[in-house]
Amino acid sequence: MAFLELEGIAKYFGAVAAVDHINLSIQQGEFLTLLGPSGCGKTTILRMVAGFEAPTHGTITLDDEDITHRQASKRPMGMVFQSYALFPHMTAAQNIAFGMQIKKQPTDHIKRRCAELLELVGLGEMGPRYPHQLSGGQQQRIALARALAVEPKVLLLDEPLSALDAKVRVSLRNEIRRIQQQLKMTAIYVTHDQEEALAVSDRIAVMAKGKIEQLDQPEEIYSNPNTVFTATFVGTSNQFNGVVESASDGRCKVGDFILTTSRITHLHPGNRVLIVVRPEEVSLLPATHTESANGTANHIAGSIELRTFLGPFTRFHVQVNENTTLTADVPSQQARSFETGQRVILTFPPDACQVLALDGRAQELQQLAEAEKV
Amino acid sequence: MTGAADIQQTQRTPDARARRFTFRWDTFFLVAFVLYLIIPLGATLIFGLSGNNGIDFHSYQQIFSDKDFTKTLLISLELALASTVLAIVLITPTVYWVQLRLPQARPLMDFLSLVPFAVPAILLALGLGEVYSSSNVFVNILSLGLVPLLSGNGLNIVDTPQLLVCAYVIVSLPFVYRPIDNSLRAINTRVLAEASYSLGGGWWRTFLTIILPNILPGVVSAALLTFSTAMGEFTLSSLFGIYTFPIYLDQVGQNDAHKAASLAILSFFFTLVCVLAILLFVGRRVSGKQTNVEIAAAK
Amino acid sequence: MQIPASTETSAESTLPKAILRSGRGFRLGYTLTSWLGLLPFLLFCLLFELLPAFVIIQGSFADSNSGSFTVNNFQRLLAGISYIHAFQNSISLSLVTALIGAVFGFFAAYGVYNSRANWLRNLLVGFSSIAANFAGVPLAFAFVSTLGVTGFVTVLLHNIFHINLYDAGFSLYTFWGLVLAYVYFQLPLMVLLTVPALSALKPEWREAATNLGASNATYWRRIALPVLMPSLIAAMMLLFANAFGAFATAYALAQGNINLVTIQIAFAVNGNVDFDTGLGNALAVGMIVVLLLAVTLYTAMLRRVSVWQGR
Repeated sequence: MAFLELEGIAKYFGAVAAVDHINLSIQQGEFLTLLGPSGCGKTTILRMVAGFEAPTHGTITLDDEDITHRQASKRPMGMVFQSYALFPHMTAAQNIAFGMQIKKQPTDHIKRRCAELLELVGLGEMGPRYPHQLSGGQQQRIALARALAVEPKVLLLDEPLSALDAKVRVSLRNEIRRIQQQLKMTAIYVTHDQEEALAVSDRIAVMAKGKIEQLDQPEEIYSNPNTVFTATFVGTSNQFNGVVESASDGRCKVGDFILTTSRITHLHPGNRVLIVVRPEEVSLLPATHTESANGTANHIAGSIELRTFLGPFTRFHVQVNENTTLTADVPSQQARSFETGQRVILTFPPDACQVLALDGRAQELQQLAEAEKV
Repeated sequence: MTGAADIQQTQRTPDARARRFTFRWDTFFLVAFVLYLIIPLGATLIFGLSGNNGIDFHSYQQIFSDKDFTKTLLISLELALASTVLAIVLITPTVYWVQLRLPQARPLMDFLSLVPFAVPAILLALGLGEVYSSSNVFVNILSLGLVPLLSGNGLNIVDTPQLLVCAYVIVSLPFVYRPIDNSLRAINTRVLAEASYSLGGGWWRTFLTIILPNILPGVVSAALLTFSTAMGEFTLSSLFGIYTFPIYLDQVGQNDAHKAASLAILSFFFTLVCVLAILLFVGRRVSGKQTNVEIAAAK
Repeated sequence: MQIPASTETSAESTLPKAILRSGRGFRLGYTLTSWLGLLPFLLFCLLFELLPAFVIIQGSFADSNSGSFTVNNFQRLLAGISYIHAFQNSISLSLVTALIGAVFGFFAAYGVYNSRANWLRNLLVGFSSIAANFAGVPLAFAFVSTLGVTGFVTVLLHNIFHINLYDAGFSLYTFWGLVLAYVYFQLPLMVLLTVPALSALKPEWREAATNLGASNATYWRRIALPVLMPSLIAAMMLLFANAFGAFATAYALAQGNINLVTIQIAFAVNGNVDFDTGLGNALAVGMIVVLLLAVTLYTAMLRRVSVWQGR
């Protein structure tokens, strides 16, 4: 049994399932992120683990103990909130000391630990300051220190960075990861920001509508999404709606084109599919390039509609036909020779294509993911 | 938040159960509170209607046929209306101006709106009488010559209804300033005004067509509070010697207990109507929190 | 990606600051004309709010007959037993009703705040507004009808429970009767002031406290009550000032029978023939001092609240 085990967890509000019978095994020292749009159930799961909501069905086991019905105040968890939730009438040090005082730990121990934790989060001098005298990022660090003060077995973080400025978010998420690894703390992190999730997690559970779409390491989630939702929600992608022609040869008919993918398992000719290609897998060739005879790469002709310089790489929006525009991310060095309006050929290899089954539910979720991207 | 309102949930964490227990205590105090407020009203209603043979509308009939009743009611209505109009017209543009052009004046405005708490109606009556009846060098200078002008032979305003109206405005000042200031803060006035200016709108047009419609709840709240305060104000009118409705109430009521009760009920219904008007008009548009604090006039 | 919720001032427009900084001369002229816009209101306050206060203070140091500077008025005030009693009565009446209003009003406010149904909460708040506004002459009559010698409740207690209130020593026309009447508007005023303060208690604080191991009692003792305390004290100060400055209710209920400062001042004003200006003003100054203390504490507490909430 894993360190923290959620089995058959479900939460109903009336007839609606906010969390729909999920299973999750979290190893000790693991940083697991629940990633998904608002309403997907990620926060509800976190709150059930914390004890603020009771599951309608299922059990929660921590370190071989069933804590499903234990009081929130008796669970060995530390929680960090989106709005920091620092007690405004107490100094930073007093906030951190609070949990330890409840446990009736000796005063000098509390003092020492406060100082240690303040150092750990990089705010050694800020002990006597009040929350309103601290910036958002500083407040959240104090909140983190406060949660760690009670030496929890699991650290729960509920979108801790959403209320912060972009720059602070990046530096603080690295801080959180560093501290977690240093302390070998088990952590459950909730966010809707996929870049954040990819950057800090050991594993990510991508969620939609109360269910886990994919549970995997970040690299896998990104490169090999195995559901339509995951592919659409995480990262940008080129998407082709098509039908399988030959599963063994990896051929799919997409509108007027034929796309060559790697061998398709699990699906048969005639199945409707979504083929996903990441922009960085797409290369640009000048329109004059001729296809080599034995190339299996896909080639699509089009003209450059928009060219956006993004620093390390340049993003090209290439119009292929009147209602299709594809995206290609090209390293800026190579992008120099391509101008807006130029006719080009987009090319990508077969194994860059992720082939995913497209059924009713998948389509619904695809729309949900699209909506979140705006 | 604690997921209490669902049917299928059979398990509750002990914390949620604990909260349900404390719930009983505050319900008790709430019920006691409501009873304390309702019982005198009920008693008054019954007392006013009680006659020798059960329900007797005699006292109401007497009141409604009393000439002084209508006379004083009209006087009070006029005074209240004048006070309300003056208060809104004077204070609303001023608060808007401060918000937009002169934020450093805010502490001054806050101070001025708190003075009526330190100088309540009774003291205002005393002070106003002294300012405008006896001549005083300091006062003449400080007021830039206006006081002698106002208390001189031409415009003697001592103990006049006009002075009473101005006094009512001062007494209501805190309850006009707060709602309007809160409303202006809530709608991010500066940005709206700048948007209007950038599209070519002038100061007055911006104020009348953009800002005012958006702060209407606050303005209506302030107006109704001023109105109800002025209608029920006793201290100032009594000391100025002006025969308003509350004075009539007191005179009649001191002599006849049944009439006193009936008049009290009538007053109550009037207040009820005013406050309901505020809540119906305002409460629906603003999130109840701010508006309700303002609905309390000291008497 | 979502736009982060920016905290405070960056949301306010920076444009006017740029205009204001673009040159001292422009700024000075801008500010001067800005103050002109305030003129009507300032004049009005000067004429009808500030000058009366000034005159009272000045008059308290002036001899009633000659007008020359003297502290005699204050000496007489402090020497007069009935004046001292008036202050004692007024202060204790205000303190008692403020305390009763604050304590019971707080619990009632918590009950209102906890009401599940929105319609119920609105009804209760509306009702509180009406009751808080009901002070003055009508309230006095309402209490006479309820607890007067032939009042409805008095008679009810006599006929049904065989308790004779007035024989037992109770009288509506005394200090404690007045307390009962004042509490009628102090309670709802407290409720109206406290419900928003309770709403400012963030649920996350409770959750954070629980998560750190606090029981319900600990949460209230160490988090909720301390955070609420400035608001509660401010509210109590408002209740105090409200009661201290009240005149109509006391006058209509007991007229001359209860010795209060406001009643004394009213007598001084009304007793035209023997209008002892100096003494009247001295009494008034005494009132102002007490009220200023209350109002100062009130503002100090409110400032603490807004600081904590990061406004």
